[in-house]
Amino acid sequence: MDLKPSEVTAILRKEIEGFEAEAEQAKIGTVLQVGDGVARVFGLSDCMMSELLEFPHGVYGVALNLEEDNVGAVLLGDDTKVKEGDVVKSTGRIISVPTGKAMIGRVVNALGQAVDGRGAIDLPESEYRPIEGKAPSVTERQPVCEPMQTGIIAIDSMIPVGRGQRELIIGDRQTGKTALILDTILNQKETGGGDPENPEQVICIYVAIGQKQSTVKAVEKVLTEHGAMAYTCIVSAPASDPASMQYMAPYAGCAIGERFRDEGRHVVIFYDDLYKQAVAYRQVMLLLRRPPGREAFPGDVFNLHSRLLERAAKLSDQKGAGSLTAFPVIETQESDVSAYIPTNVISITDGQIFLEPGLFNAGVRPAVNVGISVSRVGGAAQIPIMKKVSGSLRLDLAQYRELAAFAQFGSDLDKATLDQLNRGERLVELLKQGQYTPFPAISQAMVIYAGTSGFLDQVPVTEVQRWRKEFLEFMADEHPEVETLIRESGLKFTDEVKEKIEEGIKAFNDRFLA
Amino acid sequence: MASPIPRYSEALFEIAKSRNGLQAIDQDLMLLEAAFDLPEVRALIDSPNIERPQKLALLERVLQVEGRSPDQGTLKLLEVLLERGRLTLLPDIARSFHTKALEAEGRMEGRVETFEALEQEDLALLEQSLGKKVGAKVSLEQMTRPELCGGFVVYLQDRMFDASLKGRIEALGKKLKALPMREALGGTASGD
Repeated sequence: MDLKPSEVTAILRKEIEGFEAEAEQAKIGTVLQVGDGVARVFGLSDCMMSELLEFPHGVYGVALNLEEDNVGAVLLGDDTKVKEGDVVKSTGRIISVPTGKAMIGRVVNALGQAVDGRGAIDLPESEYRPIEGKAPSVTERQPVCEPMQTGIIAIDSMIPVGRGQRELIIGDRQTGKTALILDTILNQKETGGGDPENPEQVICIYVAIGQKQSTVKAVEKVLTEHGAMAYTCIVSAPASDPASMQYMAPYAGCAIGERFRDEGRHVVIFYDDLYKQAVAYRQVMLLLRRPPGREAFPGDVFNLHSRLLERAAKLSDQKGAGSLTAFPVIETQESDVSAYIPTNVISITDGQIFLEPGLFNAGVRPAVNVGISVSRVGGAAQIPIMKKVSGSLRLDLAQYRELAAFAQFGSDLDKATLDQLNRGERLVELLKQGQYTPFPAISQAMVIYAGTSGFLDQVPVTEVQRWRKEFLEFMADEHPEVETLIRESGLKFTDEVKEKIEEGIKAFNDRFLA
Repeated sequence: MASPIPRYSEALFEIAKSRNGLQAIDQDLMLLEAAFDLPEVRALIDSPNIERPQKLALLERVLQVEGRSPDQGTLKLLEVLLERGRLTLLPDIARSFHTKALEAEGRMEGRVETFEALEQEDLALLEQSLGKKVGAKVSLEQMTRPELCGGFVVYLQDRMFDASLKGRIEALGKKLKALPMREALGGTASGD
């Protein structure tokens, strides 16, 4: 910021002159007990739930347990600075975070304070929103109707996600969950050219919970390098933060996203990951002595996630038609999806994307298991051409997998079976995708059509990915009119579109296979 | 689990009210609370080697200092607490009862912290004006704290009135820190 010293002096003088010399009145309490990041405070008779409390030495806390004669609070800072008998002041403020355009491109903590070393976020009180909020009611919503393109062929074709949907990303460690998120963020550049001022631009919010700081930094670096930080905000609650911050980070991220949603913008938010958040919540609640339930999680751990994910919504036209799409992430242990937290979140969300270590190690990346991944509402939002060409894809792949398992026995196979195996191998190859290379929806539709219609049957399996790359370049360079035609026909798969695509594929195949 | 302290003090308060013994019981309890602070008394109370009747006799003797005669209500409370092994709750019950007794009489006790000890008349004036504000008769205990620089801080139950120089400087500092520079300049500052 460019400020002249004389201006600063003028402001300070104005403030000092106008400063009221009246006794400050505050509701107070005294610390009874403190330790492990929680404190019990006596007094504070009018304390509100989730109220911000001011401890000495600039430490803040949040009231979470309101009991008959004391208040249980989690500390948001260093608990070694707080001692028994210290005076605690209530602030009358519910815990809130700054929101708005100033947050875009920044890395902030769960309180909305900048942690990227690029200066404090300088916003007046009016720009703050409480981190806990009410989800939009039924009348304020409309069914999911627009596609949320991830740029990943396997997902956009078979597990389509709509704007306002909640789609779970679930898988073991090292199966590419964060990579999938990064690709999705990079692909949002398509929507508005990466300009956050463009109302069409989808705003991305990445909430990192309990991760290594180095991972968060790596994510920021990738996004910056690809020009995606321009429309992204990162909320970071790394493993070194107090458990209270880790538990609140998703709500803070959601509050930042809701501001844009309510202004009629489209937002996509990633919670990476909610299992670690539940663990942080368990820690805080056990320290506050709430009774433990299954796996020692408190009884309201389901509500913890459902109230967060219910805030994802597609708003009605009267409400500005904005949307908040949520991609919660759950890390499983040994692919056990029937554990407590995974089943909870699976039941809350509108579908899930399963990532499997077996596929990942076999080189199928993204390692999406399309057999058990589903999207319960996204189909309604898929673009017509994609819906048409990918209709049989899921079935073809399912049949291929069944046959492939059978063909392992190595007995003689008839021609029809061999053909089906051939086709399947090529389809699997077609769905593989390198990192940071999201595909636009129309390109995806053209290559899927080529795959499912048998135009790839002559291409060697090892050449499929090169074929895909060169074919898309060929279509862009020599037949740009096909894409224009698809757009003009309202993204529909008309006979004319079909003919043009086929012509293009044949012309390219003649060259490629020669 | 809810704490039993408010239950005991509430019950005792009702007995005291019905027998017009509010002051007597309050004084008894204050005396006992002071006695509990003495390590010798505490050691006797906490010792498992001493029989209950002996403990009761000891506490009765405490209540009879300087020829006082304790209220029957106090003695019964001691017996009940001894019977249930909850004698250690007595200081908390006494404090809780004291607050209730003050409230019933329309009084409030608090603490005033100042740079230098206040003159008696200044203190009276402060008590009076505070009394008007909170609607009760306020009596303040004095305490000096040189780090306040000037002015005073009053702690009255769960309320704090900070009119000290230290508090004001801190408030001003906080306000200046939170001041959004660009807003204050009316958007004349450029850059990021």
